[in-house]
Amino acid sequence: MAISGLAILLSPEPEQRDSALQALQEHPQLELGPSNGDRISAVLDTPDTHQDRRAFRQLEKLSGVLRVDLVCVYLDEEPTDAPSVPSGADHE
Amino acid sequence: MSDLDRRQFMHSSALLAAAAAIGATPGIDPRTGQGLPVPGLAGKNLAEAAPGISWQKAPCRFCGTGCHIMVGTQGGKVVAVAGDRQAEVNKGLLCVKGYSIGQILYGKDRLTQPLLRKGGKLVPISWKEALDTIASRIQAAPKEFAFYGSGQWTIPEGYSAQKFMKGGLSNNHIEPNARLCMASAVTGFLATYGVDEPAGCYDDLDRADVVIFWGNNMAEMHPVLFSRIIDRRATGAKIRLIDIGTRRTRTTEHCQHFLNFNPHSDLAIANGIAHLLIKNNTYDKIFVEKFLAFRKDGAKPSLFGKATTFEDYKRHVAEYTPEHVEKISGVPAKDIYLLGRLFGDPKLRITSTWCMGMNQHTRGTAINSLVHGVHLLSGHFGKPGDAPTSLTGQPSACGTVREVGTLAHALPGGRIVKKAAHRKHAEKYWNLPAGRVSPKPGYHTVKMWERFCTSKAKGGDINTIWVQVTNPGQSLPNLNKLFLGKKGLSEKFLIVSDVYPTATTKLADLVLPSALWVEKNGVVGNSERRTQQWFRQVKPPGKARDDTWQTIAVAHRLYQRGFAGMKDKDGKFLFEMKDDKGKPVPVWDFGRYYDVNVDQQLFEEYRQFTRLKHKDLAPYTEYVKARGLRWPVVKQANGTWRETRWRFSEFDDPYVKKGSRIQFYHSSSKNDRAQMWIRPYENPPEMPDAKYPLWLCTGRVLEHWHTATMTGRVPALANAMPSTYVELNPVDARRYGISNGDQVRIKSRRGQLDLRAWIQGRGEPPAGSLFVPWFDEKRLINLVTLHLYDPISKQPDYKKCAVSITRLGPGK
Ligand code: SF4
Repeated sequence: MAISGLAILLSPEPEQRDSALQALQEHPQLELGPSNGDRISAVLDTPDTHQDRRAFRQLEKLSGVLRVDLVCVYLDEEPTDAPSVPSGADHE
Repeated sequence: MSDLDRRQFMHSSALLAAAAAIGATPGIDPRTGQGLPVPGLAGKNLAEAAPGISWQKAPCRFCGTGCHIMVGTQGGKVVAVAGDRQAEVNKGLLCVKGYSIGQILYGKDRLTQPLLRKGGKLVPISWKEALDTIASRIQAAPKEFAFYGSGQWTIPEGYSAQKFMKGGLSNNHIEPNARLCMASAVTGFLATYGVDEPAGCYDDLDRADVVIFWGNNMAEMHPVLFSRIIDRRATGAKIRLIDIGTRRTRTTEHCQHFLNFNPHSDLAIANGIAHLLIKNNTYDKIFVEKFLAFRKDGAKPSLFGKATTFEDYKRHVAEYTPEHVEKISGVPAKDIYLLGRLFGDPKLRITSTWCMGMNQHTRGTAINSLVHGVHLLSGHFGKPGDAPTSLTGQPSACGTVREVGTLAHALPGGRIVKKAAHRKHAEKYWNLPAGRVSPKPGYHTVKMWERFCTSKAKGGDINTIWVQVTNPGQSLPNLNKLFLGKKGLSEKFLIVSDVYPTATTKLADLVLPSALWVEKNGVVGNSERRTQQWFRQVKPPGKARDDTWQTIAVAHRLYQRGFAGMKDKDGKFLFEMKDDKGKPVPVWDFGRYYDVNVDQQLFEEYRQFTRLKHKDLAPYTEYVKARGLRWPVVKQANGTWRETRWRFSEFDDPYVKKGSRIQFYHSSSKNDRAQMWIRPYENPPEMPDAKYPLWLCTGRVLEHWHTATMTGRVPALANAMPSTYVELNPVDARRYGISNGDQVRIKSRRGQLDLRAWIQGRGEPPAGSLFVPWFDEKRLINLVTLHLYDPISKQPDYKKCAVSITRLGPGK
């Protein structure tokens, strides 16, 4: 489970902003919250951090979305043991 | 609580935090003006929205931005993080790395017990055996021992290592990895102001009309700071953003101007701006008359050089016409004219930022002092929004390395071992007999590792290195020479304190498991002189222990064995800690380590040094209350402590003489003036040629922090960016017959590496140059990079060397 609180910055340009808002409202894993000026709060609720990250990236790419900042994240999943990389302290 | 309730609570809490971070009035739809339902949130705070989770502050463990985080713990584990709304730095926001910070504690391969290499294998041993092993190595050859730490050392960690080495062993071979990332910023500030660290702060980003990124990809490397700028623009502020870089990055996408310069030629650009200020008579006459002195190098480049005149300076920059600069840098003359016009306009507020691009440079000190120079000459200095400001990549490169002085030549508080008066102060504060601190600077990083990788018979007079909180087996340049050379030298001994297995532990003889981030108390200092404190919130796993404890425990082993240096002049242990009643506490026994606040006691001792060079810190308890304070922090008549945002400016810096407007009170010309340097462009030591026809630049990516030992254990980040690659331009791809995803070989005079090609990827290097991120332990680009360094800062140049590329075949 991964639940992220997001601060999304929308374009001041009315048409772009409307289309972004519509896309955000239709996003199945996103719930919009209160806003302030061009910024709107939201919660992204996905099964794991991998999907969370992917959804986050998609949001960043939406036309009319200028920037997405992360405010908080609640995680409830097992981390992995290594990056692409180490395999134990003794590599010799 | 059922899983469903828990999820609902977290959901509500996340929405609450997000709404609060944007300062939203709950319930207004920006499009319709209608109310939006926010069930159950009204009036709640984090703790109420997610009961059972306790929240405490801590600064982020990653970059030098220094965001504050609210850390949520439950059942002895970190279960949530939130941007800290009370923090001025980030105002409730975090970037994707801050997002994953909780998970870095819980990789499955955390090191949890000491390991000693026996019969070629690392095998578990007790802490007792580990400490005895280190003590014996040191006792056998105390002058051949070196300590190698980092800008991730907390202030107490770095301070204890510093005292252990310089006060205890009379040995100055202590260095930080920060030598590799910001040493040129230090020497740049010293060369200009006579004292290290930026005069301005992040508030400048909120006030500037023009922000210039000098080889600085802030959008990916300091994302929350970048957000501050982009937010201003989004709310209608007119800000001009200029990227002066050697490759297109995410930062470039937001900039109105991209000045793509040939590697190394930033010196010509800075001189070109100065040329125009003088030619157009738009330089600041008052600055020249009252606040500036002129300087140039003698036969050899040096930190203080020799005095010269404004006339000499004018003659020097006369040759840097925009057309001449275009020839050197490849930047069109019209863009140099643009910079000249902007700097020549006194109505504008201009902030310059930089990080590794200017520092990892064989002329690093020179380009740092030239960028200060254009700000000073144009008078774009000393007002909010008008500042040259360097950024750091690590959370305490400033706090620990630059302020505590964990460098081979330095002492705490901006002091140096060469000066008798400075050593005397250290001996006084450490209660040591006169003469204990050695006047001879130790080896800088490259030299230290060179000596370690050379047999004793051939002059390799460093035989044991203790590495804490860093990964030199991946981050040093020219690894074959500076790290892998240790292989087969049986007399050498490498000790590594870390949290995960790394490229460095591969060659370690002794591995010590360390506590990480909120598993220990800490104090750090970010890029804007802000000192930040936190408390331990969860326990480290297994037998992992604090790095400060490790240092004190080894010191105590030596003390027990009668090693004279571990006693002060009264015969007491160098790190004696006392409880409230003045009774000594045996903190070398880890079971008793948290009986007192060791961090606080070390910090209070260290604080005495900070007042010697106007870098005053407040008492520890002030930092407990605050989200950091920017030094100098000076006590007011009413008993409160006041931080300083703009140094050297009368309106804000309490140390500036009244009526002087600007005063560089540590001026190296001893007349309160900053130094304007004559520093010509010169070709770099290695340039592309027929055999190695391309430039190579290395750097970082958004998802991973430095060598990825922490971010690589976070599934989302590891999946998003699993391995490194080489970015190349389509023109070069065609020339060398390379398609996207192909396996290619990068080769330099020092080594080679096979990688996957990425054409028009995230960044875009211009034709003739390649870019490779260095986070991947399986593919070490530092086998290829150059170990040559700036003659003053001794910082190596990771941003340019000459390489070839060949296609090996299609990608797997
Ligand atoms: S910008 Fe830097 S300090 Fe802030 S959350 Fe990201 S990595 Fe951490």
